[in-house]
Amino acid sequence: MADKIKLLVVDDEELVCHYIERRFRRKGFEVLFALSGEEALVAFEKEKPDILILDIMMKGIDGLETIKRIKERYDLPKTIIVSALDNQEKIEELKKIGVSDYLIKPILLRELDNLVMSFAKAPKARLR
Amino acid sequence: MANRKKNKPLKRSPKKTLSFSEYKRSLELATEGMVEILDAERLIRLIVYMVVKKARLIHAGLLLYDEEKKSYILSSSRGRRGSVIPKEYIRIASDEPIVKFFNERKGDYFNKSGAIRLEDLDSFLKEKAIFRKEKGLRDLILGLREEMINYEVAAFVPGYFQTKNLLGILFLGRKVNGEKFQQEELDFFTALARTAVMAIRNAQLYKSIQKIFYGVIKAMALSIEKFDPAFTRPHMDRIFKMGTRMIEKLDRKKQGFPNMPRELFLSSIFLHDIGKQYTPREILHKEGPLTDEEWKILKKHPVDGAEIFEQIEGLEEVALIVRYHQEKFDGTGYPEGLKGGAIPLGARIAAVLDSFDAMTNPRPYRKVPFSVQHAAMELIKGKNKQFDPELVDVFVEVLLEEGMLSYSDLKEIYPDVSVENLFNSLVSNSAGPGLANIRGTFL
Repeated sequence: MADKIKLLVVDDEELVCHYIERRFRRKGFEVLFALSGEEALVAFEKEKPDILILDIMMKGIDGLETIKRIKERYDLPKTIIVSALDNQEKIEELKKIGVSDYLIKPILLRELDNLVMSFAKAPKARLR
Repeated sequence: MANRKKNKPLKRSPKKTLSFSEYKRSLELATEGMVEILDAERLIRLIVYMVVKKARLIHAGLLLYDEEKKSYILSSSRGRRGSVIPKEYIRIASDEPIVKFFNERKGDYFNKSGAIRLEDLDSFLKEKAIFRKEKGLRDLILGLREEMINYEVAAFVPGYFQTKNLLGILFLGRKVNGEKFQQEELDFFTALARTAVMAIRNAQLYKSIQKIFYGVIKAMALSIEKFDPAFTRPHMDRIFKMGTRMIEKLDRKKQGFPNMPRELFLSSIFLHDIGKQYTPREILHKEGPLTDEEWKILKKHPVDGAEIFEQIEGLEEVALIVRYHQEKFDGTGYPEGLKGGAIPLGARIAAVLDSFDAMTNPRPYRKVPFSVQHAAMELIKGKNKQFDPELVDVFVEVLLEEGMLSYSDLKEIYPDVSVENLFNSLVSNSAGPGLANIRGTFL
């Protein structure tokens, strides 16, 4: 199965990473995770994921900075923010730099499922 | 690590699976007195932990209704990583199949306990006849089944309050040993879920009653505004701020202090002049000095005020503060002329806080208030006379820390040895010799 869609989950809560990993692996995705922005950059470089699920408030470089650094070198893949941070300004800023969706914790999992599935179906997600 | 391996058997720790009656007993023991735990968060953590551990489930979680978000939030979870849904990570909306199913009490179709197992749904889906009667039920069941698989849940157990209000849902993952849940287990988990939501309901109720209580106290205090020109909302805010800081300080220096809820103490300071409602207005508003007769009347207000609170069971301590807030440390105060440590500590604190605020704000008899420096000086001069000397020190410390007073102010307004002493005891910032001497309980 060489053409599985690759999902990168970035969250400093390990349980979140494990849960999302297992949930989407069961749906047929290839899932990687990173526990920090720094780890995410390394994983991105190596694996070039098709979809990014990213937390904002993390120790070290935060989600916003992580996205900026990715964008310096690559095209940003479809990116979904999952964060407890409910701040309209921040959301606007993230949308401006190319984040497609923002889910506020606690999230409705069906929304995350639907977003990921719709990105996976769109052929462009693979091409970027 | 290597050593440990040698000593331990090679197989994974062969934990014995408890029989239902065994784990039921230990769960019952663990949850005994649960209803009395008012800390709802701790309570639900305990329940979920015990369920996973004693029934040996892969994972479990508890969804609780959140009034503000109008949805069910996974408030607690536990179990094997990957399968366990991180707590506070997800919520479930009221239109999702799980909530709809239990809100409409559809669980009753399947099981007398109201709970639902995955296998119940499967066998139910084979019976076509029932679906003809209830339109939409099949879709609901299919949706629920999909969610159970998605969440890796073997059973859902609803927690109702007064049979109708769905307050919570217990998620039960599969058992580690792969066995199915038996009817008696479902009954037990249903009882547990009911106990859990009842306890949470109690905790919420307690909180809301507490809120009402302090609301009533505050309204009573604000009613003083109507007859006492000295009592205003800003006065209340200032006393609240300085009182909080003073208590924090006393709390740090003396263990277990105060021994009454902080809010209740601060409220009693607000209320100490409530007896003035019986004092004629012309006395309260008089600009010049009072006559002996007028003083006699004014001096009744602590007892009049205390009598209001003596009627209320549980507020005896508030009554004491109100009754004795005009006592002086040297025994020259009223109504009883109590001296030193015989005056309840709360009343001694109230005296310092209220005198300072009275001095630094306009009064009918003194249009131009004292400066903070001047008022601090008066407090210091009043040590051992009107005020408890240790409490004056603590209060001056608060003034210094709040930047309302500087060390040079202090030296300037009171340039003798005793200030040097005070200064030293403040700088040393230890518990100091003073506070250890505060005798008696808080009241």
